[in-house]
Amino acid sequence: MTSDIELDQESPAQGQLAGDSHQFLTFTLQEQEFGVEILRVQEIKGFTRVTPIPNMPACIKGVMNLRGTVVPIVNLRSKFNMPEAEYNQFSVIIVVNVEQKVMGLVVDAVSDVLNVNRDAIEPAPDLGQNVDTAFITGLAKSSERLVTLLNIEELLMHDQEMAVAS
Amino acid sequence: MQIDISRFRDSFFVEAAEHLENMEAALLQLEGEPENTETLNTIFRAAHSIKGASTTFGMDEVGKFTHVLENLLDQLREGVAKASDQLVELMLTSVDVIEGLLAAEKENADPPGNVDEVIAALNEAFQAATGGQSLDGPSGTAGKAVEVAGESSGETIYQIQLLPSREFFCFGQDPYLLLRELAEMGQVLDIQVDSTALPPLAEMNPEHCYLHWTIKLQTEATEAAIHDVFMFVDEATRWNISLSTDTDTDTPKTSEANAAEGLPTETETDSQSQIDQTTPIAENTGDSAKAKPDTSAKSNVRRTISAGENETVRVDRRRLDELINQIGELVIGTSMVEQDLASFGAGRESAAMGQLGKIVRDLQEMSLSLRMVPIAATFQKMARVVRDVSKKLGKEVQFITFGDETELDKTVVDQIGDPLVHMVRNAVDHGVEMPSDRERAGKPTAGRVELRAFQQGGNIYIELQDDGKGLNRKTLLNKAIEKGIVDSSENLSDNEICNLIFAPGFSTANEVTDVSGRGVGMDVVRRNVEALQGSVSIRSEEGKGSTISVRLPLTLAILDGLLVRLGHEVYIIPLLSVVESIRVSPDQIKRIVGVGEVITLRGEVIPLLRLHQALQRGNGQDYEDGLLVIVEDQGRRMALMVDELLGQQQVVIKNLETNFRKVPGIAGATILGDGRVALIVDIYGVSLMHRPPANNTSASRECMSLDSTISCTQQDTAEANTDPNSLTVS
Repeated sequence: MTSDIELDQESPAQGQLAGDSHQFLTFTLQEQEFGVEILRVQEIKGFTRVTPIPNMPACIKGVMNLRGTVVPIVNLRSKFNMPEAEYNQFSVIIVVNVEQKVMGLVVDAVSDVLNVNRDAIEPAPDLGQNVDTAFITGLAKSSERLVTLLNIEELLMHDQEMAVAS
Repeated sequence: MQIDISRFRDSFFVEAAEHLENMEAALLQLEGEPENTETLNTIFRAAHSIKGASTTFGMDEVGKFTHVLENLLDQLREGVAKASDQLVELMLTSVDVIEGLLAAEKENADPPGNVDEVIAALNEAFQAATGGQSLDGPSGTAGKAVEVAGESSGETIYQIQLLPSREFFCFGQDPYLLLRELAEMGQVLDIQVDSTALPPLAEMNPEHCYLHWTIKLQTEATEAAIHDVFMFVDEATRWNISLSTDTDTDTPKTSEANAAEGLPTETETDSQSQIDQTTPIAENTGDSAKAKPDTSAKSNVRRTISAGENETVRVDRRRLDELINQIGELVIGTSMVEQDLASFGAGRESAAMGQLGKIVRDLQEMSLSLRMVPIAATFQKMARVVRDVSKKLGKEVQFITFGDETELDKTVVDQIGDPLVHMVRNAVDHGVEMPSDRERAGKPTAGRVELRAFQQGGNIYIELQDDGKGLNRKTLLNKAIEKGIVDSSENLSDNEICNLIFAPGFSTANEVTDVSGRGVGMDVVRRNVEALQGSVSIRSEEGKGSTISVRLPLTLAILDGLLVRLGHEVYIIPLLSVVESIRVSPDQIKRIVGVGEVITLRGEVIPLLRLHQALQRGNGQDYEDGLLVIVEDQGRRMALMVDELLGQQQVVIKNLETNFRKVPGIAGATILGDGRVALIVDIYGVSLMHRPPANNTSASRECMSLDSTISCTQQDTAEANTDPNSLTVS
């Protein structure tokens, strides 16, 4: 709990901007940049102890105590078939709200908030076997950066392996 | 101003359900004592409230129906008709109809089919009642008839003072409507407005009501009927109704006296109106002044009751749960601070911390009691079930409840209703015999069914006892063997045989009646009770009756748990299921083909489950000398191997489904004193995970004792059958 940042969703500056611009919170996983829609993000927490849940796929890291709420933690690295990393003080849990459920995503680090115009989002290319494209909204190019925008509903609720909603 | 009332609909339905409950209870009471006017008034008030509110919400069907019912009730109240058994029956049916109509409104479903039929029956009863009055009038029950006649010939003049509260308009009320309603009751002789409280225009709040009214009303209606006009006004609004003896010499009583006067009963009003006609005014006022104490005492009682009712606050369940949740967190937080403090202060006790800890624990206890509600309402419903079933079957049953005030978690109370209905029906249907049979057996013709609730330790017990024929063990056993529930070679104790009625697919009724006998009843009871973390059992003595005992936890929010360590993680085993814990040496663990590992404990063979294997935790440790926790679930014993026992603790149960999904073998989670999440083991779920491991160990360990294997195999039939590798030893 070293670096808790509260994102105020009500504040218009951080919410959805006028027009077709959307805001995404970007984070890194193995040098790759990803983005989640900021309206889904409840807060960002430092990595804390996670209690493993038995008989779960590797991407379900376990559950943590978020001020009295038991929140499942998804390890995005194993979800994306990336090599496991040591979690340290830079590791971050992004707490998201999806379909009335609260879940945490472990990522390597959080970068910043990115404004993306809807027409600047390119459809997801076939990324090969490493990443299933079903939960990718598209790719956003911003100057030198290439950010993969994730559809976390698809990722957390409708994926076979996660089967969270079941 | 347009007020959107649709958002009050939900609370209307809740309130209407309460009114119906009261009405039903009062009707059942009325059956015993048809003359009780107070009971009649309760019924009338409930019906009137439903009528008023449902019309407000545009549920005309409900309004229309209740209106018809109210007409009949009015006749009963006036003493014109008598609450005969048929009438009570009819009104009970009406309660069901209203319930059906409300449900139809709530869920947009079809209204119950018998509405018109019941309306016709109610109208008929009403006709009979009013017709009866005119026939009885001259000769019949003299006192009452004369009273009624006296009242109708000489209308009473009431002086009514209406003192609306400041916020009168804010509650969506309109004094004009009240005045109009009063005017409809009779003739308004005089109406005066008191505008002295009206402030200068600049200081006036246009949304406040500053005016008071005094009305002189000549009417046939009773004082109680006038009070009914004000039934829906807010609490702060006051009104006084007094008898104005003469139109000319009206000296309005002081408001204190009026307030004390309260609600005299109808008969008093009637008798007073009679006195009016015969006695001089002065004497009359003196008389009524003397007679006051009695009346005011009565009305005071009434006032206190209604004040008590108003003091309850309706709170959304989610908000309540949230509060309880947060207080649970506070407890955890406090113990964290306490630990920190202990490490800084090097063992020095902090008095302030102790004080805080105590307050927090008290607070938690209090918060948990918020969810507790008495079981009385549920018991009430059972009275109706007993009545209906016994009537249908032509049996006489005396139904008695004890411990109505016993408090249970709201969730438990809500969910125990259905199983209880099953149990009660069964007791009346299968337990209590027909009156003739009872007589032959030398018992009183009326059967006795007792429903008791009491608290013992951390559990609530609900017991249903009947003095019927009891269970016939032979029939039970034969049936069970016939249905393949037990094997004929099995040696069962009497108690075990009795408890067979809770087995799935078991019904002893020779024919399926619409009362019971579908063969699902008791099985459903058991499952529902177990879903509430409770258990059910039956004791029975043939010819003397049976007692079904349901044990329920006080609350679903808290669990007494045994904390165990598995590798680095802490797991919680519900203490309810724990029988004992033992340490075994490796050679006490035997291996049986198709069953897996077992241990023998005092001659009993118990399957062993290495919890860390089932839950995929830890490896490389020497579990051979691990500890065993013997647990019992639905009569099945199982030994769970754990690494260490950490202690015993009350934990607050958190649902994993809230944010995740159901996890096999895990009942939920909780947060420990150090803020860690610990998982609660689901004994039944874990027992399903118990599969015989691949048979690769040395044969020397295998136990070939046939006697002991049989019971094992039977216990594990479910698993053994699904396992293709299994061998049936017997």
